[in-house]
Amino acid sequence: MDYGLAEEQLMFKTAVRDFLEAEWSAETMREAWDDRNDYPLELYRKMGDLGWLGLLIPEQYGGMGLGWVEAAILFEESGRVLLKGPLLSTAILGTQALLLLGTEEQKREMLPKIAAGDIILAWAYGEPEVSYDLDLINTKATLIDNQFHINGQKLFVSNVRWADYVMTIAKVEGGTENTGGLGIFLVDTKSTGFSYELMYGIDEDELAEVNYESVVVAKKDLIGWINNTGHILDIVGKSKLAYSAEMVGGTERALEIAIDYCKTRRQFGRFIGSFQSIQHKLATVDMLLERSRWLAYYAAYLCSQGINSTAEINMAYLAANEAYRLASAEGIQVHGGHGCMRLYDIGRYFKRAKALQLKLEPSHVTKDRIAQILEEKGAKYGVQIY
Amino acid sequence: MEFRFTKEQEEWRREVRDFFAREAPPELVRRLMIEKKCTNPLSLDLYMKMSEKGWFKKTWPQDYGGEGKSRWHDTILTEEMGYCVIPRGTWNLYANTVQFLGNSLIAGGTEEQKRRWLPLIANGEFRTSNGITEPNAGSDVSIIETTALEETTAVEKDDYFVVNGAKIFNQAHNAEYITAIVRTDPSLPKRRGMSVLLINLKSPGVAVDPSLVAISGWLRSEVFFQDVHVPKANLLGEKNGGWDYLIGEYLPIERTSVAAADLGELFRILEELIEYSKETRCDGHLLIQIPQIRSMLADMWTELLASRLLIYHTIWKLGKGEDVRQDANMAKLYFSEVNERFCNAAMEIVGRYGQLEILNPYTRWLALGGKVAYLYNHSRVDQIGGGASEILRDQIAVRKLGLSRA
Repeated sequence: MDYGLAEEQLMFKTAVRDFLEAEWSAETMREAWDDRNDYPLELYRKMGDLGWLGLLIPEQYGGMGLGWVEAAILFEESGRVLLKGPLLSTAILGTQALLLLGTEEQKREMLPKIAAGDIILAWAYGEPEVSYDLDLINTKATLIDNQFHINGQKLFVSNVRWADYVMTIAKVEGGTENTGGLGIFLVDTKSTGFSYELMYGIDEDELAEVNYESVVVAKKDLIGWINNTGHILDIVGKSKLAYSAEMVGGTERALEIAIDYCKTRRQFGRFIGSFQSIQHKLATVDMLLERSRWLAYYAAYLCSQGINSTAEINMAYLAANEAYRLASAEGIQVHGGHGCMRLYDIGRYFKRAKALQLKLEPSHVTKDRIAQILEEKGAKYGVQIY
Repeated sequence: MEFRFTKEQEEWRREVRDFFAREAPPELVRRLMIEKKCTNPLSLDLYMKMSEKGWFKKTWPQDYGGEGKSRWHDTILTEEMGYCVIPRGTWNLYANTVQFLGNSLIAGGTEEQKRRWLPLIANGEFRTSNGITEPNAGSDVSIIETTALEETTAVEKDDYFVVNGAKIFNQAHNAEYITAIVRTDPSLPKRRGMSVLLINLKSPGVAVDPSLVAISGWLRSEVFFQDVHVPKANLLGEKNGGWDYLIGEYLPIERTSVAAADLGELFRILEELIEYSKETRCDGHLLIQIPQIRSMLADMWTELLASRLLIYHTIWKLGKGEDVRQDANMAKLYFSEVNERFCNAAMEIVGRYGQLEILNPYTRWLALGGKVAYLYNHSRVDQIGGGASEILRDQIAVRKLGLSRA
């Protein structure tokens, strides 16, 4: 047993923190939040130069060939500073889709570009009325004359405005033995028939309604093969791990902000941090933080070992949601009226906490996934229940 | 025991609801929100229309032009402001001017003050904002730094206070006055040397800075006073008796009012959520068919009903002239925490659609017009404004349960 990070991992953590401090200061973050047109693409490319976008990409495809613990570190640090950008959709979802399903040619073509930050990918999954169940996806890819024609609508796609391709999950129809199966299609955002409407999340993230009207996609731009519901679920599951780590980082920072404020604000002749009612709040938050941190790193460790960890990832995700929400809400509470104002960062953490969760799924859906695993696999599941 | 309103009170509720539906229909409020990029448009207009209806003096004695109605009239109006989801700035003006100031003038104002201000309050010309909190004095009101020291000029009639300091998080940009608690005698113990003054915001030396934006999008002001002259006739209650003035009726009324308004709003949201759940499909099921969502909805209803009973209990006791400080504290404490749980559950129910900001120009996918996300952003405010939960728990423990102070 060893709960500690290895020396290289600690160095990596420090490097990420130093880099983000320099490139994504609190002022930069506030500007990017307040001005929706501002997007840290420059910073994103620098992360590519440092190799971090290729963290999970094997060396033969231009990556660093590291594991999920390192990925968790990267996301934890970016969560601390409310980093915006296409890190998750490209470096996690894109990379995983290609690694799990892509052809050798696709890997050679795309992965080095992802690692270098030369390409940005968006991920289009949910639809109206279809939030979490892949079997019900309505967007269709129809095979006509050796090309796919995509028709349908996707909701709440992040990063579309900056993306080169939108990885679109669609049901395949016509002229193939795989009719009814799902494929991930690389849809060029410059394609005819591709359009979107932008909306804004409570965390100022751009979320698009994306429409496909007979958008033509060449066969080579189908990632891998058709009929891979299980793999797509696995890819989304992995993104949940990155979200969990991001939320752990956000929780940690929200708690620090609250503690700092408690030590400077005086009421009733004392620093408010000296009151038990405040201390108990923060102690509870810290307990939830530790809980979510170890669940997240445990799940990351299991992923790195190639062990099926769907249940553990979902548990980490639930715990991180709860910790982040409470940490930021109590952070506002500690700030009093000031905490309710945009002048202070703590409110941004509060919004981010809920937005990060709702980008994927509400907690009852996550709990249901855990219960399903218990029901189906019982004690025989991977690492045993006890 | 009789847990119901009279026929007249029910009619009053309908009258109020019809009025708001006509004057502030949700579509209009939404359109203005987006046009003005502000979550609180129309506040002042609506307030003035309410004054034209003669509603502000309903509960006043007939001597002052009122109708002598009970406090329930006030409660029903407040609840309906929430239920009809009218811009909250209207409630803020109403609460500060009519509920707090109007009631306290009737209870303890001088005859001159009553004759001078009540008619102006009734017709909407006199609007005041809250002036308790300062940048450095939040939960601990006793450390306010705004001073008002007496000065007497050569002309005999012109006795006034000279005010210096600042008040924060108020609605001064919509008002002409601010009801400010100020230090009038620094030599007395902290809680004994304070007074409440009505300060005209147009006076020389007053600066109103309406640049504080809350995370829910509300606009709030900070008011600065530099050698502002305030006539002694604007003193409310006794000189150096400001603390008693606040804790006597002002704070209990504030606490029940904020709870009643927000309660009305959450009842409306619950109704809309039920409709939403009945017609919204997610992954092949109507939301209302999903057991976890049913369980959340049941909790939400139970907690709203319990909140309502605690709030009504306080108002009932207030009407009997009893000390309601701890009842008001408990009603507000409980409801404010219900509010957060409710809003979080509402976000869970609408799921992905809940993450959209209310001011989105492209509105097609907003759940309940974006109200869920908006209320979620706002859901901690009630645990802070009008007495933070920590303070309220402390007061209940010490003053009601008789425990000693730590």
